[in-house]
Amino acid sequence: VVVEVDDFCHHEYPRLYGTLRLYCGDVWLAEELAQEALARAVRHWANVVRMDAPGAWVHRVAINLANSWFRRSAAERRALRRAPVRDSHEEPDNPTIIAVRQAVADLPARQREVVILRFFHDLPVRAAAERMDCAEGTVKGLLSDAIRSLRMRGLVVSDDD
Amino acid sequence: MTDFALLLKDAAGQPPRPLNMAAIRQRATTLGLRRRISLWTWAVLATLGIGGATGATLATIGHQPSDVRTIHGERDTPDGPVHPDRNSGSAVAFTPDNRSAPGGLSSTPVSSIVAVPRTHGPDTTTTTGASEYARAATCSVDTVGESVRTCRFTATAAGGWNMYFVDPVNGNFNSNAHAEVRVTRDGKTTTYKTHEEQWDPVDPADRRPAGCADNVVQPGDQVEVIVYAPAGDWLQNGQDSNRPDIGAGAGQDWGCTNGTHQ
Repeated sequence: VVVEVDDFCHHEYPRLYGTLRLYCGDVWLAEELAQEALARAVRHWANVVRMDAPGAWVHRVAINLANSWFRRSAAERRALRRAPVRDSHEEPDNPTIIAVRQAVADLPARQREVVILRFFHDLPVRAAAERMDCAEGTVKGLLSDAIRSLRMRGLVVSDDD
Repeated sequence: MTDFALLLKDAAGQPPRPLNMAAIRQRATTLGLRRRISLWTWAVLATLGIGGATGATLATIGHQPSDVRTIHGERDTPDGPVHPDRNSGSAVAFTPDNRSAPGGLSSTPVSSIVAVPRTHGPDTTTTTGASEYARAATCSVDTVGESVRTCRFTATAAGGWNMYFVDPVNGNFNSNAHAEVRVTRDGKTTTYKTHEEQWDPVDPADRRPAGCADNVVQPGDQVEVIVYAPAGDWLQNGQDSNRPDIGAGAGQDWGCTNGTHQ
């Protein structure tokens, strides 16, 4: 199946944005990093289009970019740790949605990533392990810890996989 | 699908603005140009012998007394065993008296984006008479803004080590930088070193230093973290606003398992 780069970008953009929104906790940072990841896909399109899972690749690039961003500024990192989830984008969100974002943002990065893959991307454990380049057992362990933390925040989370 | 999954999808929301493909293409073009220019510059400098030091060369470079910054810049300690002098390239003899750094070091670990859970085998040597370093749970150094890149501590907690890199805002980077972590226990020093990894699966030229290990530091160990960055390396030549940097750390919460802990 020949995929055009424009179609690929338009298809992946909402999911990339959502992933980064949950991962970074910031609307504009998520938009910026999603576009940066797509720019890298465009740049390497001749190779990306031949991959088995171009979407997985651009997702990995996006997470790498997010990690890079966080590490760039130590001051920002400290501020992010102290402050609640930054969200300058005005939305009529209800308290539950805000609580979900905050709970996910407070998870350690690896747990946050596995929660996003499992519950936002709806990936089975095996696929999540492939995305994260780790063993299924590692994913299950991370997921178990994350679910425990989320439940302690009052969220009802179950994983039937 | 659980209720939580539905909630998470709501929490993720929708992009605030529609995707602008023209802007994406423009950005992709800029990425490519930056990459080509930087690689070409590096090749010219290396050919001319300007700042083309290799890792092997660096191993012989000494140090000058200088401050050491942690990643957070929270604690400065005097002196470092390896401090390539960018201006003169001179080597200054190591001074054992300077090894004792007063005060504790503290930093929160960040680590490799490609936290590879494997490391090349450590080297082991036997040393005697090492000075006691300041007691701390962890220490880390980076290359942001300064050329100093070493820290030492006497471990108060168990942990591992890791080296991380940070992308520039635009473009990729290659670097000849590398890191070492020396752990001295009962007079025996074990040295852990980074190796080179290909980072971008579609860009074979995009190679980066990487290395980590879990549980290599025990309380009471004397630990030294060193980041070597060749003079002329991108790490030092890039503009502050768009410069990659690398760093390494050891001790509590460092290692492969916690490789992406922020």
